[in-house]
Amino acid sequence: MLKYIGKRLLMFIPTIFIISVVIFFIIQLPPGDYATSYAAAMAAEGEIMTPEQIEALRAQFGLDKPWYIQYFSWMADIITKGDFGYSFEYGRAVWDVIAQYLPLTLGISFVIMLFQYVVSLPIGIYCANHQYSVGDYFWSFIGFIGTATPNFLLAILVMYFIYVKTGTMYLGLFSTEMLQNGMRPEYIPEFLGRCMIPVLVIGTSGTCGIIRTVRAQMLDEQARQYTLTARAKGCSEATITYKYCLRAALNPVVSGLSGALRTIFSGSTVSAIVMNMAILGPVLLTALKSQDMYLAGTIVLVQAILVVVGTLLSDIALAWLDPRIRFSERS
Amino acid sequence: MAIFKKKKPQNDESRYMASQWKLMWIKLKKHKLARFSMIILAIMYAGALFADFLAPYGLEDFTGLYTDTAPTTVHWRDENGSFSRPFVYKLQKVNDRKTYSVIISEDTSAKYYVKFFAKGNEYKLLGFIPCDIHLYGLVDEQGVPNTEARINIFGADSVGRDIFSRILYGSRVSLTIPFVSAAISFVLGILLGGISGYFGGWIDNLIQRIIEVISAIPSIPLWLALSAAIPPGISVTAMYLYITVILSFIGWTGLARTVRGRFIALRKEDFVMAAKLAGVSDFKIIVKHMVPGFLSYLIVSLTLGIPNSILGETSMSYLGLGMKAPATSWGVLLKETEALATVAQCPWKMIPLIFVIIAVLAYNFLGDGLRDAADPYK
Amino acid sequence: MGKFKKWMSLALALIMCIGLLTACGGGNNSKTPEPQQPGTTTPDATPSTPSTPDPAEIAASGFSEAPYITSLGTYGAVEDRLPVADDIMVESVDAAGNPLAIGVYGGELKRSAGGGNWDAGKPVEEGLFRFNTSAEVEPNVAKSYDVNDDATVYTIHLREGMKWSDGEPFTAEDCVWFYNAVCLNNLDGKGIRNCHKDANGDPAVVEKVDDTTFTVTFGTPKYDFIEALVVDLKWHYAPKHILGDICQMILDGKEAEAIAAGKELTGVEFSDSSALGKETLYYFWNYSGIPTLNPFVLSTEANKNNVKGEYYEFVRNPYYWKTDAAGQQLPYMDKIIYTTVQNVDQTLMLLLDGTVDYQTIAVQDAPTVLDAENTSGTKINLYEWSGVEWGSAAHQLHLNLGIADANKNALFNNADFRQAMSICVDRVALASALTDGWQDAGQAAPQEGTLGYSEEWSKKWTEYDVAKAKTLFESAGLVMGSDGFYDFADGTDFELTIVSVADMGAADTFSLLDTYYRAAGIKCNFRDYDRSYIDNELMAGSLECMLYPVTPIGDISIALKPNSMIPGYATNVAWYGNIKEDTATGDLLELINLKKQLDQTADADARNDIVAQMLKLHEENQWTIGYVAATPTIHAVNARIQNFPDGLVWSDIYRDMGVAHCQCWFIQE
Repeated sequence: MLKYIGKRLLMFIPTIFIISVVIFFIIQLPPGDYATSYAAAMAAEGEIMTPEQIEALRAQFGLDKPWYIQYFSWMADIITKGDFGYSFEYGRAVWDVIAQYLPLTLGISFVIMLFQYVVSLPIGIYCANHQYSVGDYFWSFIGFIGTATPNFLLAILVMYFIYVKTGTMYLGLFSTEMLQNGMRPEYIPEFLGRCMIPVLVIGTSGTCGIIRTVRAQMLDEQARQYTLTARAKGCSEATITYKYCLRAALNPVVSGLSGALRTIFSGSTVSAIVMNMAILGPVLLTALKSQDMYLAGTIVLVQAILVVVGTLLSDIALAWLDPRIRFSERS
Repeated sequence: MAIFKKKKPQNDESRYMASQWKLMWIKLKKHKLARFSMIILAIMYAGALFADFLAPYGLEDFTGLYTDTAPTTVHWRDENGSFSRPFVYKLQKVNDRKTYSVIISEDTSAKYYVKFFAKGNEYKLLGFIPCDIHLYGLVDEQGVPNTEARINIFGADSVGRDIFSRILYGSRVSLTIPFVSAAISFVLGILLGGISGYFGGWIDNLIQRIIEVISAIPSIPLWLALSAAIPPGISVTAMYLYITVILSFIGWTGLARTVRGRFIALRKEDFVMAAKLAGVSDFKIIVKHMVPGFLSYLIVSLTLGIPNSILGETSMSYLGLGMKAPATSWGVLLKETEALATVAQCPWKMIPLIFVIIAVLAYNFLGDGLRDAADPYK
Repeated sequence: MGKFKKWMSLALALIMCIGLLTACGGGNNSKTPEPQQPGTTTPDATPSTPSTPDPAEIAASGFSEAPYITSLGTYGAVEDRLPVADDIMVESVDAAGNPLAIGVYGGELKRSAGGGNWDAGKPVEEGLFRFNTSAEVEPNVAKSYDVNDDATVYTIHLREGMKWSDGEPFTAEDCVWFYNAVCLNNLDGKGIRNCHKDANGDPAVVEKVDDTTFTVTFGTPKYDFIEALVVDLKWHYAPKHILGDICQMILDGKEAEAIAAGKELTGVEFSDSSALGKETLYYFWNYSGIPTLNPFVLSTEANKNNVKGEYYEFVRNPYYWKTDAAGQQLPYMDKIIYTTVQNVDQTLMLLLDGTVDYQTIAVQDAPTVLDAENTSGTKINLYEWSGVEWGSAAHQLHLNLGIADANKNALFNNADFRQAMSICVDRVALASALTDGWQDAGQAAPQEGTLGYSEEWSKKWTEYDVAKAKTLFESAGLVMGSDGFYDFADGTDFELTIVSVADMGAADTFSLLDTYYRAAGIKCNFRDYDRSYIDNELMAGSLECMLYPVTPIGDISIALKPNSMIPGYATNVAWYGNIKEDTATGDLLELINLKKQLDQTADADARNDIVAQMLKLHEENQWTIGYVAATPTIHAVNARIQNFPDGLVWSDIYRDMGVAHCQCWFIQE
């Protein structure tokens, strides 16, 4: 077991290295660099920069060197100093920028995940226990519509509907007053109201998937021999459902959680843009578009590491749970 | 086993002899929702194939008069209130610069009749049969085809193009490219997953690490990089196709993992061992003996991959990374609805959304049906 | 001196009365500068407006300040914060000369924007001088100027007792130091501006005379220094008492020390000294802690002073040096507050429920904006300003006359080809479709009411005639190929590659144009790119053809801002690409030579004549093709905002929104 973990950990370092090279290469692949995108942004506001000024900017940011040199100096700083570089766009250290957006990003992701499970587990169980009932069809239908509608359009429709009904545009999580005066107790009801829209819109898309998995797994388990045995022994239906079937049915659902690490940073970028939420997804997109390469690179790298760590953890857990995998790896 | 609900005895001898595919087909036909979905999808693909004929107008046919106009009202009663052949009136439009209002009204001085199989733009049916007949069109009172008045059953977009026609043309891209990308992922997934699982050892290790690297990189940076890196002078549709193809070179990883798992399980089976001892080549063992064992599962995952692709296309178009005008897809059509003003003033521009939802639902239901059909225990 | 004054007056009359005529109906005040007596000097650069109240009278009735300032309790009497009574600037009319209402204090202007920079800077910018919308120079930070007879020595007079927003005196030293330490050493990354260079390209000499006077001396006559100053440099000052030491550290090569001092001052750690210099001296309004002369200064409170953050605010300058006609110190509003949005369309949404007070909108959105009153009870007023482009910027076709490909170069430089590309399109239908019926068809020509306008020019090559277009294509050397599209005479395929900036709607324009081009036998393809790619390619001069460029053709005046109209004056203009003086031929070279001649000419009549000749060259050649008439800028302003000027001109050299003088706006719920 230890040998297996050791072997996997050993592979971890080169994998991360290769990923970081690939990421850096991809990020600098589009033509132009931050200097040109900065000049373009200024041109859009009326300031024209001369080629010499752009060249000076390039030298200032070290963009005049080949990409692999930039990569190695970036990596060297990360390894030796823990310095992830400087965001050109924000004029601050990359880590400061990420730290600014991280709490809200994690908070929103967590609340949405919570919402998905809290809503979809009971519905999934209900649907399995009442297969082919009106409720089953109704919830399946709602779930399907949620998945089939592009999130960003759903967001626009919901915001418009609320605007027409209330005359207020719930765009973004914070009202101007909240931003101006900080969070005060009297703002909390409005804040929660504002949170409802992204949670509903982004949450519904994942909900359907979970409902379907839970329902299908529950139905499978209910057809198993042990369920039959339990029923024959005279166990109550509640015990069968919650103590036996649900446990087994949850397995794939819980293992799906590791996949959530992938989406935590940039899973709902489009919806976040539409709903004007200050989370990392839109920040990443802007950074990529303006070629703010160290910021973009760091966000993507951290996300990639999370994915690799997630896979590693789940592999180790599986190996621990299931000796067959350990042995098959060894052979 | 008797405690379980008894299945009806099979009278049909042929059923025992039927191939795996035949069995799947029989079961699929029984799945009502899947059958209905298949019909819907067949209609949609037929619509894409015969878009030139079904659409009354060309992709870029515009008229300044009809910008942002609601679905055309088709009249069934004439001014005396008696039934008549269906007809429409031409619109007239007044822009009031002072109040910034646009007043659109019907010009009732002339009627334009709806005629089925009317003459219109020339096109090549199925790409090679020259034709100028459209499913429907307008003619004036003398029966001459008319281009002044328009019949836009789903309304017109911001430059006066018929949304119905554009949905049909857009479906050509939106319904086919996801298919291509799913197919490529499918082939790669089976091939690399199969190699990885069958041979094991260092090849397996290498492929697993490649999968790990590829799946760790999020798709948005890739889209950005690829769409910017493809050289100019390539049409937008071709560019989109290229990106989809490149992305399907990345999208195979999930499938490959599953295939590998199945292969690891299957290669220990006696029938594989028997084939090996009989001297069958590795390639033949994979293709002839192992893949059919779980092909049905793969087909299901292929089917379920397509709707995600369709939805992905709308998101990417919204970000300006996917299809872009002047090319047309459902995502491009929906991009016009991003502004709230559009939802407020021109709700009919949301109609393409209905088509997206229907296509996605149909593929999902079909996938469900296939899964049930492919399950040998049901 | 007299000669100069005479020239000055005539030049001003000449520099045209912009689109006011069209925009505000009879609002045009045909104000002709009165002829000056030879030998007299006036303290004012512009003829004084009769309605301007006498500062002495206002002083007699006393000054007042905003309750916001009083409530802070940390500032002294308002009289001590204003310049001496005679030197206070009184804002009584807007940039078009219409009288302003006397306002009330208080309230906040709510805006949405991303990331500070010019969008936040232009509205509050205070140049040494400023333009009104007749392109006349007005005094602003500077009180007045004098110039000697041969236009080599300019003497600038400042306002006595004027103070920086931190209360320190603003003197000629700040102006002189800015030029000598900052510009000459290129500390702000912009170096010596063109306005400071004489005919030989040598930099001017700037010297302090006393605390309120400094001189700018050129080696050769510089007839348009003041206008050029407003266009190129604008402010010409920086707070020496704050930034002097930091600049000295940079000049001495003490980078680490300078960065530490910069962090101490602004709270931002700059990556290196060139970033430090540029950000604190050129984009100074983006950083708190740097005093300015602006009406609103970035807040110094934490969480409200980061222009890259979610929320930031600009707070009133307690030492602002302007008052209204009743002696109330400006600005009226206490703050301008900014909340960020992810994309510009969202500002429109926030406008509708009153979260944002001000935004420019497209005319198509006007009905939605006006409807907000019924939905959310937000009353929004619309104000229309004219633009300065020749024809709608969104629908101009720019063929790169300097393209490397020999076949295409010859073709694009052939007037027949351009004429054919112009007349093969049904403009009326196109304009109606693209603008939802709001704009007329047009050509790339000066708008009515602007310099160089002629009806003939605006109708040039605008008829729709496919047959004639085809003969013109053939006379331009194209041959109809077997595929139904034109080829070059040598048999190579001709396909026009048109590009544009992403998300600007040019794709729709192309889709419609393409139907006409194809019908006329021209094969085209189109793709849009990010602005940075386009800009990069523009600088390389390698783009073949563009729709909706970064820089549309046309501006206030070909003489004042030649960038988009004369080859070699900008690096990002699509139609002349890489063409410069040494590569230009024919009429293009003629145009460049005329501009050089203009720079050497003092006589007003002669100058007019040259400007007319330059415009004539444009008219004859029609180097860019316009299809839709110029679009006005529509400002959607919450009805609670008062004193928003109507019928001005939207132009960068007027500082866009800056010309609306937001210090004069006030809020009445």
